[in-house]
Amino acid sequence: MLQQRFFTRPKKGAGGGEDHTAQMGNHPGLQIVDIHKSFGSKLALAGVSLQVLPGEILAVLGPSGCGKSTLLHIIAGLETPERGRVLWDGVDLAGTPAHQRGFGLMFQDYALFPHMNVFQNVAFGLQMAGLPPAETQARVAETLALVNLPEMAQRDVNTLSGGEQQRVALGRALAPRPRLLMLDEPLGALDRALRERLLLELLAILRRLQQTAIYVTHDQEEAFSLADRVAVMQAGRIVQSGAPQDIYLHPATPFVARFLGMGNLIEGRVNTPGQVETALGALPLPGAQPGTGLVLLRPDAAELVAADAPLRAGRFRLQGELRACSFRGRTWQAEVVTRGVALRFELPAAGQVCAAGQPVTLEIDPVQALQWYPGAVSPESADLA
Amino acid sequence: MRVKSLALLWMAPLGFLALFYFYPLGSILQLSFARSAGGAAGALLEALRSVAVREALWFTLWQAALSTLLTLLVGLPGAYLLARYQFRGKSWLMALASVPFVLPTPVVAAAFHALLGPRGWANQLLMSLLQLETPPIAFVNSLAAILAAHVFYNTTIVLRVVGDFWSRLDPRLWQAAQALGASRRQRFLRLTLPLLAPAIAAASLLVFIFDFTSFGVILLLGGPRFATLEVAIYQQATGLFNLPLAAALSLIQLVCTLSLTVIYSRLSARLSRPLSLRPRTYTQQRLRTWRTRLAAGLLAGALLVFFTLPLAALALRSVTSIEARSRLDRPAAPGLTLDYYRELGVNRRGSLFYVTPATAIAISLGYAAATVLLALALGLPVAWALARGGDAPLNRWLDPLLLLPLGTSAVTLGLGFIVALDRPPLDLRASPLLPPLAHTLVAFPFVVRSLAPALRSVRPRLRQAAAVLGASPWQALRRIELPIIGRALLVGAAFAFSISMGEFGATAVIARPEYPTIPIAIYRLLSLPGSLNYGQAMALSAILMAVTAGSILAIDRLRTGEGDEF
Repeated sequence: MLQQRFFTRPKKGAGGGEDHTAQMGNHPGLQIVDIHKSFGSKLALAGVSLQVLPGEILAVLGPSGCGKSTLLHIIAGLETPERGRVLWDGVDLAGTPAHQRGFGLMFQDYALFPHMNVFQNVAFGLQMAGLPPAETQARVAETLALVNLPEMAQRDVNTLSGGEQQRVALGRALAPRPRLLMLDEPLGALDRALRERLLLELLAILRRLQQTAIYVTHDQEEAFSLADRVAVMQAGRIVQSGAPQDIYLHPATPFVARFLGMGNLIEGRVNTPGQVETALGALPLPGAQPGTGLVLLRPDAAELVAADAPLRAGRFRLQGELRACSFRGRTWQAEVVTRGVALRFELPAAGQVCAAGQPVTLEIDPVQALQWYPGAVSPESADLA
Repeated sequence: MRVKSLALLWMAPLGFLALFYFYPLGSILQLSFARSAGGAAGALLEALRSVAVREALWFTLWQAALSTLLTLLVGLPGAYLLARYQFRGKSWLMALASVPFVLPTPVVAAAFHALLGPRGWANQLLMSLLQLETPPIAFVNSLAAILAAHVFYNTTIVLRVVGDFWSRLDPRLWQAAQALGASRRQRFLRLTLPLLAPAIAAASLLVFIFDFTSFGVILLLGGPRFATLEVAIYQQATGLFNLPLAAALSLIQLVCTLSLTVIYSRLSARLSRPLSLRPRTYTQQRLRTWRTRLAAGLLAGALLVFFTLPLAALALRSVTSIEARSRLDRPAAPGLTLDYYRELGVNRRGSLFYVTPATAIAISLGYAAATVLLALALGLPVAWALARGGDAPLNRWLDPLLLLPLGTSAVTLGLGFIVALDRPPLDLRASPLLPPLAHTLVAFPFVVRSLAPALRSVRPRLRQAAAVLGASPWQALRRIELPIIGRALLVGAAFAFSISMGEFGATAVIARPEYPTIPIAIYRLLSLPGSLNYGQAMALSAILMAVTAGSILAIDRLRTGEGDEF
């Protein structure tokens, strides 16, 4: 599922915050610096900084309520931040109202104008820009063809299906050719099968237009398959940003790991450097310094071996009992209980039979499988709230 | 929205209801209780002891039951056709079927007169064909006329309620039953009927309520031999001036209609429970074999003729004079004529007290304008409160109150005005304002129901979407908010207008003789002898038919898809 794309972008390591140090200057594209926003006593954004280069697609990934939508509204000019700046090509947009920013925003619930038909909805932005009618006509037709809604121009938007409404909303946002397109959970209201199909279409359209875009979602698959770069948000902050594969391979915090579906987080203490004591026993952890923290045991980095097979160099083993097992095509999703700790693994399905209740031996490469979060406390603190 | 501002919005409309609904109703209760020593039950029992009252009640019940049964017999096959099949002209059939429902009763009465009355097409045709001196069909002033008009009116309810529900039942249920060995008959008895039962029950009850409170049809088509409770109240109040008895009858009527309405709302709430409902495109098929095509064609054709024939007869009759043979009338050339329309403004009798039909049109327009203004002025704050306050307790408690006038029979509303508003502090008896006040009571819920969804859909979200697309605040107001609200206002206004133009029951009780509305004028003209009066009744009815059908058409066109709350 993970689509790998290689775009020209600086290689960035794990861990967020590199945008903090970005200097203000003539940066092309969007740059936002240290945005703060609260609603009443509730802090929505606590110092968000990020940058989107021309032609780049940035996905903002986070659980609902983390401030993603507020961020988009601030960039669009629909909300004013209490602190921080929004710049485009180095120009501060603080005094520019929403309708003069030239940004597009596709709303999660589409917000189609109920009293206008498809054509009028798509034409709206063009008419606001003062395009002559003939050109508007042509551009709407072109846009409708682009979003795969030909022949639908005269339809009442209230009679459209969810997928059709989504396309109209996308067409309406694209038609004025915004310099930045923001999409707020654009597929959130659709069912799964439709979502996967539209995701591919959406990606093709954005690529063809070389559209600079910010894509907000809570779905990691959407974010990973669409974006050049992903920024993970938690409670009003960006906790990690980078290429999809970097984030997947090196989640910067226990929260990110858990949000990406890696739930094997175990409390540990390093007494002697290079080794961590956990409820699972002592695990090799090259380079770890004394202190407490959390160990992430990646679910996809374990291998099922015969108990009497020789141990390969540098690896360690876990003995346990298979509690539950479900077939996922190329992998088994397995729940293994080791020393009273329940762990989840994705074991390669090839040549293996998986049956609940049987004792198993897992062999693990610590370099690939383990990640150490020094100072992090109990796994519950990585809650997805 | 804060409770305080919500309460503020509700204040004027509630004041209106208190003054013009609850106070008159209270006065009716007081009047009927004052008559007897036994209190509430005593008044009822006393009224029921009278033979005339018992007869009226009994007739009301059985004619309503019979009408409902006939309506089901006509409507259910049609509902099946509309629910399960997709064919050309279907939306037309649906639209035509709903036309009678919105027509004022005098128009429908005139339409049946035009088709089957002594001067109607059928009789005139037979008389000239068979060289008869008297009309062979005695349809008007018979039970058959009442039943036919009721079926004509209410079939659309069965088509809509049952048809709509049926169309969304998953056809796989029947396939599953067939696979389990159920025969066609068993499938019908064990599956179709039980599944449809709540829809059929709700539709029947609604039809029954309408037939139970039938007034215009009974008065204009049934003639003096038939009196429902509603007609009895009218006769006691306006003909015999026996207000206490009218009040007692109203009390019976109120108890019946309110309890029927309560049962109906319970029933229809059960209908909205999801029951593996499927989208329509999935459940409907085309007519494939010639046999289904023939059957469907015959059924659709019969329904079409039934719904359009009386109305076509009315329209045509209003421009045709076919009674040159009659000796009593001024001889007129047979054939097409606009005489009836031309005569509307002429006071041929030269009488000082005669009000020309043209004046009635002017009065109706004036009343309708007043109703529109009043209903919008009262409806807007309530719609705003409902749209912005959402599920606030105040809304939940007060919203059903608005519907009470709809559950109260029209004649009762009128009687309440007469009983309550004839003395200080509110002496409006001589005031020509009385009818628009009554019309507003009826129109008010419709106005609220058309405004609230529109106001709800004007979310800040739409403004934001417009802004992002480059609309300045002023442009957003002009292009987004005003058009949405404006349309809804037009829809509400059209509802209020057509209700006021067509209202008959309450108006018949409260309108002063010198201020007749169009329906009242039609009633008077139909009960007068002479072909000119008859022709004028036809012309006036045709005008009213065009006006009401036109406003309903406008409502249909203007309403934006999602706002359907009826």
